[in-house]
Amino acid sequence: MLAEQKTFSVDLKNGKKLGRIVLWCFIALLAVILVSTCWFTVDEKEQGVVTTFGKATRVVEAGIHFKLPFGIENVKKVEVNVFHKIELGYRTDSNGNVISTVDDESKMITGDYNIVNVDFFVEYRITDPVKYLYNSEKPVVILTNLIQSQVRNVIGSSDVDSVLTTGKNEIQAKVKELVIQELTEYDIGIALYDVKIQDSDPPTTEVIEAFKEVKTSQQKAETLINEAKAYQNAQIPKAQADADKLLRNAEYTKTARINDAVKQIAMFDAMYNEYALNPEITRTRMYYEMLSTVLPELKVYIDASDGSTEKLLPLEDFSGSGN
Amino acid sequence: MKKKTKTTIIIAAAAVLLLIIGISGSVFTVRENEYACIMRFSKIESTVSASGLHFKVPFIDSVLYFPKDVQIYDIPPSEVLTAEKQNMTVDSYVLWQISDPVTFYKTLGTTAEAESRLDVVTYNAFKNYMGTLNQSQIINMDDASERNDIYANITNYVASITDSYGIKVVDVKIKRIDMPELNEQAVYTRMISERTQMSEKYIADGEYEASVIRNEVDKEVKTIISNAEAEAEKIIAEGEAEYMRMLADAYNTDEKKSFYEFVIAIDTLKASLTGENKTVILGKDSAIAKLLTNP
Repeated sequence: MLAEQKTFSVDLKNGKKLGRIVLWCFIALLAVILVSTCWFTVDEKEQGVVTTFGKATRVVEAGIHFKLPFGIENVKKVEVNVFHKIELGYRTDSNGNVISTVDDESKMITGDYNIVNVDFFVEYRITDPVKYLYNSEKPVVILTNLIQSQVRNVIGSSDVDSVLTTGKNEIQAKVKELVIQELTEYDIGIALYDVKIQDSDPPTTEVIEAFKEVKTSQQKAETLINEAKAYQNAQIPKAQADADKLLRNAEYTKTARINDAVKQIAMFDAMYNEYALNPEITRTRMYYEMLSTVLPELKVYIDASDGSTEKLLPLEDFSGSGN
Repeated sequence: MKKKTKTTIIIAAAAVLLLIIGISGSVFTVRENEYACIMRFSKIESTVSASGLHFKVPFIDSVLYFPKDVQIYDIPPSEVLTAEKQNMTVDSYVLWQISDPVTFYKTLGTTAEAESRLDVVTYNAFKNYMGTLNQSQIINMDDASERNDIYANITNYVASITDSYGIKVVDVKIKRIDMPELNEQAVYTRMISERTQMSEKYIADGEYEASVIRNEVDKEVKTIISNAEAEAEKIIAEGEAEYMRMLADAYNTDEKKSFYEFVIAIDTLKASLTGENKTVILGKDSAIAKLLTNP
């Protein structure tokens, strides 16, 4: 009995000791939990919204911060410095490769009653973390829906050619303007940074082909015009060269003719000077000189008829032997 | 003495426990994005919209929370008819929030119920509005912001009805309008034909412009040559005139003139008598004949 009592007291002693250890462990654990729930860190990308009993009491920047434990103060971190993106009409994987298209988002009707597929890339930032967290339930979904609505507004007021080619910048600017306007009304702590047309295409392959054909035809037409201009560039100088040749020839002809006159006058003057010395003799001499050059080649007949009979005397033998 | 101490400890512990329960039962927190309604015996006693720590009577009061923030309800796409009985699919969304939690609790109670009510009201608003418009009044080149004005009117209409549910409608907007499948096919066909027409016009215009250029070139070439020919002829004529003037000047006396005539006569004769197989018949009285017959 006594021994039993002793054992018990020893057990009691041991138990007391154990209890104390457990108590200390418990207190230590409590301290660790207390300390660990008393501080938090905020990344450079983020701001932290601290709520005290549910009420947003302060917004803290990057670094280490303290708060009251046991859920008295809570913190929610919001990536305010990050440019967040929304893809409309397509989805990409983490490497930026397009993995799928979303027709419901991209297919839209233009103001001139055509159908186009337009993909948009949107960037936004969180400007007010408190409003972002508490003014609306799903701020990003709201923004996405708003952009879809305004994109269709603007595309619905544009013609197909500006959507596909020339008017992209205007469309982007208009969408941005309208979204910003509406977003100010919504006041959900988000600011639109940029809206870009990622891609815009006609709807089906057949229609795409027809659009391509227009481009081809445009180029063909340009080629035709360029060829005509090349023809122009070749032909006009050639004609000018021909014209120049004609003029130079004419000038030559003129000069040659004048020179003819000079030559003839010179010759005549020379002959006349001789002639003037003794006109009669010179005349006769010139006459017979002429005959002497001409006669050897001639068949000469002398008309001996006396009015009634034709009598031609051939001079063949005579002239033949006269050579 | 020992027993007393124990009892004291137990009583103290119970008191602390009761205090904790009492405190925890008499305080409640309200977050930034919610309303809290304090209910006492199934009756809403008061509404708290300020966030933070609040008090109530423990065990008797209970708290009912309602969202205070803006909710988005994406209405499922629905078909509406235009004035000319064309089908159009309208996909829209509604932004709404609870403005009066007590009325909301009484009339609707849950968010799901609110959404189904909003669906009906909004659908009717669009159906009625679109029913007064032709397709061309819906799809046109009017300024984009005018559509937002239309949506603002619809928002006001929906808001005026849902006001009695304790709901504030922030915005109603169409995010997508589609034509029926069959219409789309017709549009594709028309787009193709339009483009084909454009292609042909480009080619025809190109051909026309090219031919205008070529014709102009041809005209210019011919004009250049013709002008040159005329100019050349003029130059040649000048030469001829000069030639004649010079010769005329040269034979300015009677003697010169008669000698010149004589020279020309001789030259002419000489020219006409030179060549093959020429025959001359002389009169018997001519000087040569006399010379030949009577030397």
